[in-house]
Amino acid sequence: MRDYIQKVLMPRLLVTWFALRWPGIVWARTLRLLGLRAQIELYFAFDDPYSVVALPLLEVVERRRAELRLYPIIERGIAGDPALNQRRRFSLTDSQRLLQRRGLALKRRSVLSPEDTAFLAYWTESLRGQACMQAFTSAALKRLWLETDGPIDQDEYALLFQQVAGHAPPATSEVIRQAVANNHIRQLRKGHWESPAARVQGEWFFAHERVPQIEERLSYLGW
Amino acid sequence: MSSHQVEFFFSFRSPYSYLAGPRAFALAERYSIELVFRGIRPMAMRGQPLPLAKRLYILRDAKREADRIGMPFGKIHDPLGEGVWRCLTIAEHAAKAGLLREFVLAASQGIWAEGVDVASDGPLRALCERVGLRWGDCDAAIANTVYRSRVEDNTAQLARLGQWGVPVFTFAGEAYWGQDRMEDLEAALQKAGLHRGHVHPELDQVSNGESS
Repeated sequence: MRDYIQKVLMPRLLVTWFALRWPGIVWARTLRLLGLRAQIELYFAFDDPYSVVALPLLEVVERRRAELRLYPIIERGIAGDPALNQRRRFSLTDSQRLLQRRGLALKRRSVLSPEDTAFLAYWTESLRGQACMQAFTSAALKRLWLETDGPIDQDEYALLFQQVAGHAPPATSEVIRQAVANNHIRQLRKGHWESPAARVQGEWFFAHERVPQIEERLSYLGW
Repeated sequence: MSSHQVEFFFSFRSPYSYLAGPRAFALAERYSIELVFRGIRPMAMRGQPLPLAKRLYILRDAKREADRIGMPFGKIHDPLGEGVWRCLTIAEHAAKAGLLREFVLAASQGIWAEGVDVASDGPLRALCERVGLRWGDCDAAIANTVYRSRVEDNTAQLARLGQWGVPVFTFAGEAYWGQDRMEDLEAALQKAGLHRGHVHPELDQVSNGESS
């Protein structure tokens, strides 16, 4: 019986549930009546080249007048994943191909560690609630992956932060560290584990490879 | 037979392998290549952790992708365990019998869209006979240790490539992971001058991501 539930009943019920569109449509209509916009949460890691591939999502957000909430993360992936290093190495090759489809190229040719870019996650988190959070994220990801290679010059990003935010980046406090850690906890609680992951009105998508599908979801929900 | 090979690493337990199947087998018609099928053990039978969140995401995303490319999906019967082994060994036999494509496509559609329990003799026999395989030969294939070790070799080869999931395609020393990366593989095949012309225009459309 347990075997039947696991191998037959649950997967079929889940797919049937996933295919239902009307609950989302009704909910979206209700939100619109209340004057609210579509909600998109993007969880992303600066050390992940796929994050820069996901940037066209920002154009969708603008086109659909959606509300985007950015959640920089440092910790990501599946605990104990034996293929972790393979995944991270291959993400460079795969990102390069995905960018090539849009006539772009990765300049960075080697994998970064989460520690290499942690300061960017903290600085981005410090901008929560400010309009420039998105602009800094976008500029920093482009600088990191499309425009530079080799060791990361933190001063260069401090200058970028100053230009975008109008003030110097803050010293990293325990409060900011905890806020970034909480972003990943929030992501796990909501049902995803990796970067870059977009939660679009309650439904998860890998943001580097499903931007057209995200836009389609917003379309059928009426946004 | 073409000197250009494209390897196709495939798992019967991977919904993305199922979604890639028809387009993968059509590659050999559309390009001057030999498609080499390599059936492998699924992640769950290779010690790869597969948490609930990932399983749910894969099901949801596979359903979305199936709808996008117009393939049936959802009446599932998970073949994990003996069902997987039966399909993998019969696929090896089907290759020898010249019915690989027919069997792989029928079995994976059976698993992911028709609720066929491939771990049971009755439904599997019906499926095999439907594609022209003799059940007696298939039954013998299931116990064939050479076929089992070939699957193990394929699985080890995937690991040597630095890959973990499927479907994976290899061409000219490069690996392409994902049913939605066939577009990049095809760009490489075209760049190598291997395109035969438009044998299946509808498949050209899907591969170029124009179907959504």
